[in-house]
Amino acid sequence: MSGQPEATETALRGAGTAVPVWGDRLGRRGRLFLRSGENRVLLALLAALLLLCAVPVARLPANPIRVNVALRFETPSWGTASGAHVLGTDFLGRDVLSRIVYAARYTLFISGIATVLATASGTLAGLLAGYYGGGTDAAIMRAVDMMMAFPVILLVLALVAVLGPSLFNVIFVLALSAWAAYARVIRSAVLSLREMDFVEAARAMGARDTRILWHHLLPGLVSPIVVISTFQLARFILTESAISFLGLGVAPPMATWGGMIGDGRNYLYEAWWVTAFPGAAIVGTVLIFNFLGDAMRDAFDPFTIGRR
Amino acid sequence: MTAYIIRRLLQTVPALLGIVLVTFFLVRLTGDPARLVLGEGATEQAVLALRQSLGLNDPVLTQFLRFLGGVLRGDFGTSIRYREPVLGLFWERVPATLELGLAAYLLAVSAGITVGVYSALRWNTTQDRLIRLLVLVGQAVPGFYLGLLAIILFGVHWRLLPTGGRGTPAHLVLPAATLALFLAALIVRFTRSMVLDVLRADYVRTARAKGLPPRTVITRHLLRNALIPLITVLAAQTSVLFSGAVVTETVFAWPGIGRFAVQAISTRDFPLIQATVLILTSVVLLLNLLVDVAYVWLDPRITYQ
Repeated sequence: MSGQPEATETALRGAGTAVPVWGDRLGRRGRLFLRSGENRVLLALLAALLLLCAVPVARLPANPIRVNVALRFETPSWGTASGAHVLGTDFLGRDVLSRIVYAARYTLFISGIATVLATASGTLAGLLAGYYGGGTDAAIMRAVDMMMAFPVILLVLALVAVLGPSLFNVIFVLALSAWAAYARVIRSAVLSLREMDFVEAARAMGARDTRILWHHLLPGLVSPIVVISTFQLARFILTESAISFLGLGVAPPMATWGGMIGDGRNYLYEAWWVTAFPGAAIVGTVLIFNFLGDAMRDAFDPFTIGRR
Repeated sequence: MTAYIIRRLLQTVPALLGIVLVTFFLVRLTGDPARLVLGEGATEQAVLALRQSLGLNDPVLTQFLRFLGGVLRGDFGTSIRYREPVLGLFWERVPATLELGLAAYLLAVSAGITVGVYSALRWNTTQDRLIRLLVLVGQAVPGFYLGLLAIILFGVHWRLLPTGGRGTPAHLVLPAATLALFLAALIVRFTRSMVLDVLRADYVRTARAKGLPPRTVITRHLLRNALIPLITVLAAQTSVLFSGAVVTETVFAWPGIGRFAVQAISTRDFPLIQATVLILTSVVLLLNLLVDVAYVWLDPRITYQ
């Protein structure tokens, strides 16, 4: 699900004025970011989420993959005396809470790696298109136009169906569906950056193209890239959940939140909790990343403070 | 202007060709479509026979040109499952998706603009902050989850509305509202920031200063300029809306193209998958073209070289 066009526009506004020094500027922005209490809470939530992913399977309240039909559809026990299954059990008698924690690692791993791949490939495409212009630019941008026209879910579903729903394929297909959005944003940022004096100066000093791209242009693009990636990660979680929900996600024993909802969907009448709780996990996680993206955009781009 | 339209049209051609190429190779990525169609247990003979009849033994270029020629004539092949021409099957399901999509669009646009303007006019008040929070939550809720929650509440718990199928207007309520939410959240966000920008413009101050009632200032001066960019944003969301329709139609058993596509994918009906991806993507591309061109009439400030 693409959206937030302003996110990229305002993220860009900072790019034109960037001073291309790798670490220093990011450090200053980081401190600005951490000054806000809300942002520290967001980071704490993110850390908690990542910690949950690191909990060994053996230490979960119950085995998340062992089937025990005798325990089928136990109602959530919160508020009651017996604390057996806090969020109930699903149609195979598996503990919903344990499965939510277990699924978090797959959901976040898939979305995280896909974000890294999409960021790397899309940034490279955008850099090349913006810097070289001409035929390179035209070729890359026509490919971008084409990619942006595909309805993401349909493309991802079709590709996963054809390639097979392995962990690698799902990640690869997700990344493939998103690189174009990066390319478009990075390209327009490069178009304004490459006209700046420091690029001219570097070229006059005899710097090679690769050096200009890597040492002079890329550092100025770090903040828009970080902001877009944060939103993209959230979007990948939503897309991955949708394809898992439709039955084309990674196969068991791997589990994802979307897949859990797909399992629960046929039992809405008997057992709402099998559907409701994993969905809440998705909403909460996506919110954390969207809030983080907003907060970083505000920290990186002084023009937006208080506006959104 | 004419030159711009022609150049824009020419730019669309490679993208369209690219889409045809991608959908063509989509099926061939697996290696052997014939074996996929027949399944693992098929005899070698049956696979060979099907390969022959599908023309899979010809050189790839011949196959592609045949595919392209078919597409240009409106022939997308025959569905494996229904044994009928794909285009007819697709066409039968267009009205349902159109109905759902238009209802969702209308809902999202009317609610989105109203709430967005309200939020901007009440900038930084409690209402504004609440709306911004709701917008963020609205963009974080997956469509299928929202749909299932709606089914649990309105269908199972309160028994107010039908939860599946198409027919009466009541059937349209839940799917349209589900599909509209994500778009509405986006429109609220966009309208709000556009109106905030325009609010500071001199001509709005002038309109106010000469004593026009606030309603006139908003509708005649503010919205007109704030909302032209919204049209591009909305057009850019068409592919998002199609993606949403895939999920929403599946959840509510809505007999449209989205649900049809999911069924085609789960039954590996490749001609169907090809046609659906190809047609929907081309529609998005052509709509983008149309909007870019229409823009010049809407905003006289834009000139094209």
